[in-house]
Amino acid sequence: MTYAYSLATLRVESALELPELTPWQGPDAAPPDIVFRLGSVPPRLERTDRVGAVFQARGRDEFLLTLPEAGRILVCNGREVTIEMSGEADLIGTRALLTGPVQALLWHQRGLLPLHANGVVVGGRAVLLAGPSAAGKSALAAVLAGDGCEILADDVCAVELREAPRRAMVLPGVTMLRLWHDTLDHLGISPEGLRPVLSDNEKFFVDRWRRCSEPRELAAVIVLVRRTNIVRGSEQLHGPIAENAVRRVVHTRRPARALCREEDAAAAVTRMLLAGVTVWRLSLPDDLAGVRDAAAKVRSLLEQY
Amino acid sequence: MASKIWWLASYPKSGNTWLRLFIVTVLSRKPADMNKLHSLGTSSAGRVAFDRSIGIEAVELSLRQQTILRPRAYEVWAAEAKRPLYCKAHDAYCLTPAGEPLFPPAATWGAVYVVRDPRAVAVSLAHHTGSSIDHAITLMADANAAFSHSGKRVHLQLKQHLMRWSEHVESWLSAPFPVHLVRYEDMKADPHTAFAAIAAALGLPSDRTTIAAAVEGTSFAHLQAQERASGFVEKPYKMAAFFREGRSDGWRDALTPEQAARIAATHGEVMRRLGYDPAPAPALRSQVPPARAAAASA
Repeated sequence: MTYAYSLATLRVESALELPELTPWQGPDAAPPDIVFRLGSVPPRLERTDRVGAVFQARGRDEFLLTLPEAGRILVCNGREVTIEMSGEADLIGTRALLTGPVQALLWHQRGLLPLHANGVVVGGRAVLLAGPSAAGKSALAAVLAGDGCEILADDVCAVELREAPRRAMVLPGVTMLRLWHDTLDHLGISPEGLRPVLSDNEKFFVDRWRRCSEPRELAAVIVLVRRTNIVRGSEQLHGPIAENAVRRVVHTRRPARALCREEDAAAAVTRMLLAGVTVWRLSLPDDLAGVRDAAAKVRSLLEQY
Repeated sequence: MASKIWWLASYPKSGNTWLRLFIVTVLSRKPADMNKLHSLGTSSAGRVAFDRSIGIEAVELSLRQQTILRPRAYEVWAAEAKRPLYCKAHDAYCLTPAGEPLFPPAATWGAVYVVRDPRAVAVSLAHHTGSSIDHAITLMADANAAFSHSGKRVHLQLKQHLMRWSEHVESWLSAPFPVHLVRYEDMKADPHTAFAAIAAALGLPSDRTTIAAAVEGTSFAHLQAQERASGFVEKPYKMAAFFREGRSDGWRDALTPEQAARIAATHGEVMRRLGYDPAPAPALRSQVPPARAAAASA
């Protein structure tokens, strides 16, 4: 049995059920753009160009991920993903890998720009809340969604650069937010009945807000900096500083480098800024109470521009 | 060019920050900026550094997988380092679930291990975590004690495996690489001698002028003033001030005899080995004001 989903407007056919993805609504006969299959994956690639702590890469289109207590995942040509789960692997953990790092690898291989960000729609245009894990992206997106913004993508945002006219478009991704127990508490949402993201923590998929299923033009990237106690407010970034700030949130740089895709991503960032996307830096305190202030700040930044 | 890592190891609240400030001052030959300690090398539990070196984010992995992969991250740090790294470590020197050392000897030059009287650690830990002293004492006696392990929120640091306080000490002192042991109390009593020995162990300049300047630049009064002026990025959000008291014997006014006895009963053997007399001290409080007693039993 296979399942059909929509991701970045593409048809994904999967041997594993991936409930966090949006079911495919297009024609049944549409050929899959991306296939997730279960099968045998070799422990190493025949000829390896670059090796990391948990991966090997060959050329620009073959990437083998090997993780303890999970198994091996081979990602090829931006189209084919083969999964061999080890004996200790659990399905929940495998799903998290497929919709997280594997999704980003697919976008690199397909020539899209994957940013580590949550995408929300504000005033009809996309705004990316970007930053490393623990920056507060999903919590901020949840507050904005509670205020009526639509959700475009959680954690991985695929950006497509278009010409004539030059525009940066954010494609719809996983539209369920992944929120920690403490964040749910803060938002007054009970975790009762919510599906966990991983087996050994209390992070849950939340699907209660309006979602956007169409590409949206990107207006701004807001790079979040979570400080433990020093709050520096917000500032607009320009020129090389803006470019570097966005390059640092490419998802994820080391695998992109292994696939010789890092320069492509950097060039895409430059084109994105040339398309008129503004870049901001917003620091968040290590306290959920500050997230509501940050959401108000995001709204006021966007109203000014 | 590859290098290796010096682990700046300690149980939490034992003087690790002071040690790192000293090293950064010696290396830069100017008073340390406490908010740029990362220039030495990242914290061993730093989430972002793990994510960047592994290429997969820790949030996509179980806690077991994260711990299993931490040695791989340190190997990457060492392989890509252009100079020795000096990395904070609060974990015990323990094995990962895969059975290998968390801190791989092949990526390690050695360690400086700062130890502090566990009675003083208990008081400081209670302030740091915003909990009671009794809770801190219980944590220090818990073989499964850990920092940043709550599954309810994402932490800026990865889970740190502390073990019992005395196990923490013993684990580092039996690590299979050079470990320079220094007592916090000796750093306070005679900083010039203690820091000169640390600098020598790390292969850093240890001449009288360099050490005197670094000791002056990292004096408690200097650090308190700097924190007041510009904040300290490593201070827990709800803690009033990181550089709080800086005394080595403040515990004598803060612990009840029963609390001191609990610590001695659990850690007495290791305390004696390190020169900390576990017997109750004459200056120990004999009576506890009602407010403090209530807080201690909370």
